[in-house]
Amino acid sequence: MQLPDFETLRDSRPARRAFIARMAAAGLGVAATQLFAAPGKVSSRSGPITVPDLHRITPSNFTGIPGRNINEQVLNFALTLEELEADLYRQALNYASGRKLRLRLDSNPAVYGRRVDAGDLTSAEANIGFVYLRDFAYVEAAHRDFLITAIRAGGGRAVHARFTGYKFPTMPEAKMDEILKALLPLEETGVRAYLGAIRSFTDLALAQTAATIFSTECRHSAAIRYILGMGTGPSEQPGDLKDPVGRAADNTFEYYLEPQTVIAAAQSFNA
Amino acid sequence: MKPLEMQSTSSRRRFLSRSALIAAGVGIAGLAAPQIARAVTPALTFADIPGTGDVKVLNFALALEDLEADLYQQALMRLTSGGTNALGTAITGLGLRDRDIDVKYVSEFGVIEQQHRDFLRSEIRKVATPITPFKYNFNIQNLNRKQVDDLIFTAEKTGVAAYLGAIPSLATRKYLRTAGAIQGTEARHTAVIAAVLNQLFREGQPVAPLAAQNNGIDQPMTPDAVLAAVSPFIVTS
Repeated sequence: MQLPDFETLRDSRPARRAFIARMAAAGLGVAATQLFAAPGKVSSRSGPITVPDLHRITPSNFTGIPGRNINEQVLNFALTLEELEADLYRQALNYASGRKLRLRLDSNPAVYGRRVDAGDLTSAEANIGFVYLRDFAYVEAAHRDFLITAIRAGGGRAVHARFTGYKFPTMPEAKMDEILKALLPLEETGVRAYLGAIRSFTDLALAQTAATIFSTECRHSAAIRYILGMGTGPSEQPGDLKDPVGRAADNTFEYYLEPQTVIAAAQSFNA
Repeated sequence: MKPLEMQSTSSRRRFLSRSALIAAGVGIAGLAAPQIARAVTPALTFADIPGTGDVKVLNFALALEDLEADLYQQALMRLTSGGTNALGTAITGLGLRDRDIDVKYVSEFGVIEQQHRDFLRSEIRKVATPITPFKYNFNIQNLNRKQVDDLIFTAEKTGVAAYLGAIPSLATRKYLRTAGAIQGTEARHTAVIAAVLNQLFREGQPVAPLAAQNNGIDQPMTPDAVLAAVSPFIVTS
């Protein structure tokens, strides 16, 4: 689906109405409407949160992330990650397809085909893993585009992708299992990032929007782990935070990271 | 069936009138007949869930986790060596083994759903009365292997959508991250069960929404829609 560009949404009431209708069909109508709120004004059917929370979130948790209010900052925080994920998935897909890394994501998925060795996977597993890689590359791009359009439609400034681009800390071997292993930390960090940021939203409709993306990041992680013969997850990693505290077992509840931890961790992917 | 722990007079009245109709029907059918499990009708709605604000959402989540935990238990019986469910229905096993891929995950995920259920119940108990567990009839004794796996997949997908759809009903942010911490695992289970279905039955299910499907984003379901979908499995006797 082609999303309308910012100028169209800004200048055209019918286009804006169509965007909201499309999001409403996806169950995100309130969030979409919310994004058109005037700067500084946050209101929704569920109402802004006024009950004091146990965990106080302040804009300083998102230092360096632009936004006119905390909601916009959180959305831009999410966009920062989606820009990174979309680009690295694009690179990984090109790599696995024997194409130049710098090539843009092609509008025709049929141009991609596995050209790397299966590694420790069977040929069938490698083929399935490649399909996941291809499908997820388009999805991460769609997440990125969704957030860009949504932030701009609300009159906000969407963060740009890094001018110098992104890279894998260590380029994986040209094997399907190694490429998937290199992508897994992106998804797992994305899961932890969304979960760590979600309580920063003061509007539940926007929190719901973020959660719908978080949910697919969890699915991606689990699917990649499945092909690699790993447990479904989640599994605890150094630095992980727990909610609830005193959890039952390793894979019963997702882990999270504070936004500043994620921002710092993302530096290792900067080219 | 034990009455729900109602906190609202209107929901209590609605439930009691519904139960009276059902009990009368069973009584007329035969005084000496065994109790017959009938699906709750009309379907439950969010208004029927006890509590208000965050507690109401937690009780809604607990109701779903209780259903899932019971489903997984019955599914494991059906796939393996059989057993008897909480309704007293004998379930003949299909004789699959622990090493079978669907048995492996049904067993593993069933434990996790029980842990979710137990956590929610203990959390609610700190501030309110948890919803009384229902009993469930999935007709699982008549399902073949694929149908059992399909039902599990549908239940997990519904759970994913249910948690997302309940977010706007929260009164505070207090449980937002905790609910997300549970919902994320439901999403993982959904992806894995899809992968298992593809592996066993050549289904071709996407393990996650594709880019052309709602921008690759999971869709929420309202609590009323979720309860309408699961009510056929909730029985009274």
